[in-house]
Amino acid sequence: MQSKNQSNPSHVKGWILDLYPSGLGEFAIWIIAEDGQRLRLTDRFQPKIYVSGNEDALDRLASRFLYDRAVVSWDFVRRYAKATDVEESKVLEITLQDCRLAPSFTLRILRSGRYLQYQVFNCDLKHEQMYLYARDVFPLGFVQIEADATGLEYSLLDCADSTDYVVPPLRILRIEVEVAKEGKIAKISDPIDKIIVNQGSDKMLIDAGDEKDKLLQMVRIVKELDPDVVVTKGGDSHLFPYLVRRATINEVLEDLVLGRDDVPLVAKNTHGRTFFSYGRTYYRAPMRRLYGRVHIDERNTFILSEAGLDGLIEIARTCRVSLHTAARSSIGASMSSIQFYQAIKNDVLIPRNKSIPEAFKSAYELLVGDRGGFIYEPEVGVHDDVGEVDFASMYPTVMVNNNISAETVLCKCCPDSKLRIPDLGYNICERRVGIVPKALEPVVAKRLSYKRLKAETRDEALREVYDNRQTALKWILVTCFGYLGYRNAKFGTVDGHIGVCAFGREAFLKASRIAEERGFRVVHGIVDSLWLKKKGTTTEEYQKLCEEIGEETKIPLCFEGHYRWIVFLPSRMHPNVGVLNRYYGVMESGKIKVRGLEVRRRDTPQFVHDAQMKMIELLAEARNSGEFVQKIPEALKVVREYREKLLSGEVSVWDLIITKHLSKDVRNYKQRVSQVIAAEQLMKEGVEVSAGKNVRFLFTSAENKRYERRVKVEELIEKGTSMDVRKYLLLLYSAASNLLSPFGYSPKDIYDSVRGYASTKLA
Amino acid sequence: MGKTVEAYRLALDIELQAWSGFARALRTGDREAFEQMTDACRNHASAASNATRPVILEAMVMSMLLEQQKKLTKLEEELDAIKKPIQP
Repeated sequence: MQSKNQSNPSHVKGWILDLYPSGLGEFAIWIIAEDGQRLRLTDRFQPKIYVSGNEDALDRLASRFLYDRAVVSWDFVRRYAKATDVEESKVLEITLQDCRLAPSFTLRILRSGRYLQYQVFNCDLKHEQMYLYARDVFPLGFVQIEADATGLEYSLLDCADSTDYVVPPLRILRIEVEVAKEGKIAKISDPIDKIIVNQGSDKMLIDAGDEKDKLLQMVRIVKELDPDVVVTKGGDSHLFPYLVRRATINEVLEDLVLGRDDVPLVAKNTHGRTFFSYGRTYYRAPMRRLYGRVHIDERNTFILSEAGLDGLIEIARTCRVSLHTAARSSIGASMSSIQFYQAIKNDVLIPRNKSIPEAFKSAYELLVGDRGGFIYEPEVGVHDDVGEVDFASMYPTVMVNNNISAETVLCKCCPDSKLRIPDLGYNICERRVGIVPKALEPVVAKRLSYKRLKAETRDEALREVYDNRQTALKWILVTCFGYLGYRNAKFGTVDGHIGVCAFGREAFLKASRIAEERGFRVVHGIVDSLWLKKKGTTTEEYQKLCEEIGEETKIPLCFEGHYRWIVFLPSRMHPNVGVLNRYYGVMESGKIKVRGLEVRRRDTPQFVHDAQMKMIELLAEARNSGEFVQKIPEALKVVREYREKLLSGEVSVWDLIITKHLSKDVRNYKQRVSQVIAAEQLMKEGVEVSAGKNVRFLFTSAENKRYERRVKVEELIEKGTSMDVRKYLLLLYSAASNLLSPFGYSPKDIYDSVRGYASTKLA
Repeated sequence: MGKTVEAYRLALDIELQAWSGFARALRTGDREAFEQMTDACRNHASAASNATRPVILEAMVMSMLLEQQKKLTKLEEELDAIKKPIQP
């Protein structure tokens, strides 16, 4: 390990691991050198922010900088102050002493102009992002660095668009702490029982000595093993705050150094954030950093759970955000970073607030424009000869193909443009390519090549890597459309958002028209997927259709596969009406595809999940709809089997745990629903429960008048806690009837047939 | 989407709810027929949504007419099939 004051080696080749502001106007960069050494380099970095306003006002502002210690220098330059501007305008470029001064300095400028005279740009980017954009490098990019007294000079030997880059071997360490609990639930006042440190297959147990020894030994081991990545479960939310607390009590806080810099862990008493997105409430703990190492909290990361470390690295490289930020931030935030990079490269300034308003629309235009994707109601029942075709990355491709971006939709420079949004007729710029399509195009292309590589490679391990990377990119593409209409997205536009849907609907309808001309019947369709039915079709026929539609719509259409049979389920309220996204079927390959059923829901207890899955697996043996109907009595036997298991007490309570999400603060619930009762039990034990968290509990007496007896939260389950058998039987019947509802089975019918009261129904 | 203008499917639910008084006053046989009509609206929600008519009842009536026309055609075909063997 290098000490802080050592000067930079003059010449290094390696990968960028971590970076952060260190001294005043200084950045520390951790490099994994080619020879495996971990080096800490320092670079001078003074960020530039921009101010626009009328010329006199800017002059007046600049005259005050002479006495301002935050300002290093200033100049007048020409930039596109607004993305919609056709011409560059004169703006004030200010070089700041240190990137951490940007927020306060910005506020000062805004206040001095009473929030009217000046607009400030490029002022609220993350520090690492500012640095990465300015040096045009990215995390884990392979670089050659020449150092001199003034700082570092990078030559990039890598490319962010590359698909076959080398990832340096990272040393990954996992830290787990077991608490010597006094009560049933661990509290921050309970001492450490043991610490488990894992590296690869090596496992070290620290349980000797008193608490102080344990802490110090952990610090020593981490220092010796010198990991690049530290993985914890709950490091952000409770583990690190807990360690800090224990170290303080044992008076060894100064020695609690887990990063590569000689700084102890900080116990910032910051609270996490609860936020709301797409109808779900989320909770995110604040970030706990280890300088020089990447700390990943498995409980506070979306991308790692979706796409693994490969996906995380892919995101960090593509989006130019540091690894620990990429692990924690929403995909949307990472995706925006590509747009910022493109903006800076194209001399477009990044506004502090979104400044592009929505075009005025009459009520009728809103009715026409404000719509989502197109949907064909499914034909309820079991179907033979069905194939599925999907548009690959439909919305991102639409955005790239049609140049949809904040500054291009309804641009002032081409009112007579031929490129127009369907239904609304808005013009789209023909002269320049927008920032959003520029940012997206490489991602769309890269994902396609990963998918191709994944299909081509014979190496199992490599296939997984490619799959993880393409999954990570998929999430960027998924979010890019939503962000276009997001009120805080800096390059978003509602008109573009509406336009993407309109283009999407047009392509979708075109595709179904072509399919119908080729003799297919559309049995179901959702936004970018079509289920087509035609007797005796071959894969070649589908592929030809996909090619034809792909050429016509300019969006690649992929054949997902044939179904042996597929069942589209009706609405629970209206048995004759099909609902979207509730179906199950078996592909020719044997792959089972289920949507909208209990097995896919997160709150389903394992017991119900297993029973329903077993029923589906049994039905999956059927080769066609005829055999499917014959299999129904066998499927009902599964229900009977699971019923008996439950009644005879063979089912463990742990298989009956239900997970529910708290969508708001416990106090704000008007009704004592099960998750609230469970959360209150937790709070009574002194556990902090915030909106956005999950609670896991067991139904003990679901109908009990004394509501606190209805459920038992998982943490408080003891030997002898018994389940409400009736409630779980009802859940079982309801899951079974959901599968068989097109054949006329209600939960009551399932119950009757399981008890042998009624003969099996004929479909 | 759906923030300024109600999505068609939601608007349809609200409209049908507004007709619940009508449905309640119907006798059993009539109510079943009415339910078939409302199902017709739900089953053609995509097309009705794509029509973007400011008056929702127009789109609903069109959905019901379409379903009726389908039934008529089907009955005609069945009638023809029965007629054929009878005719000399």
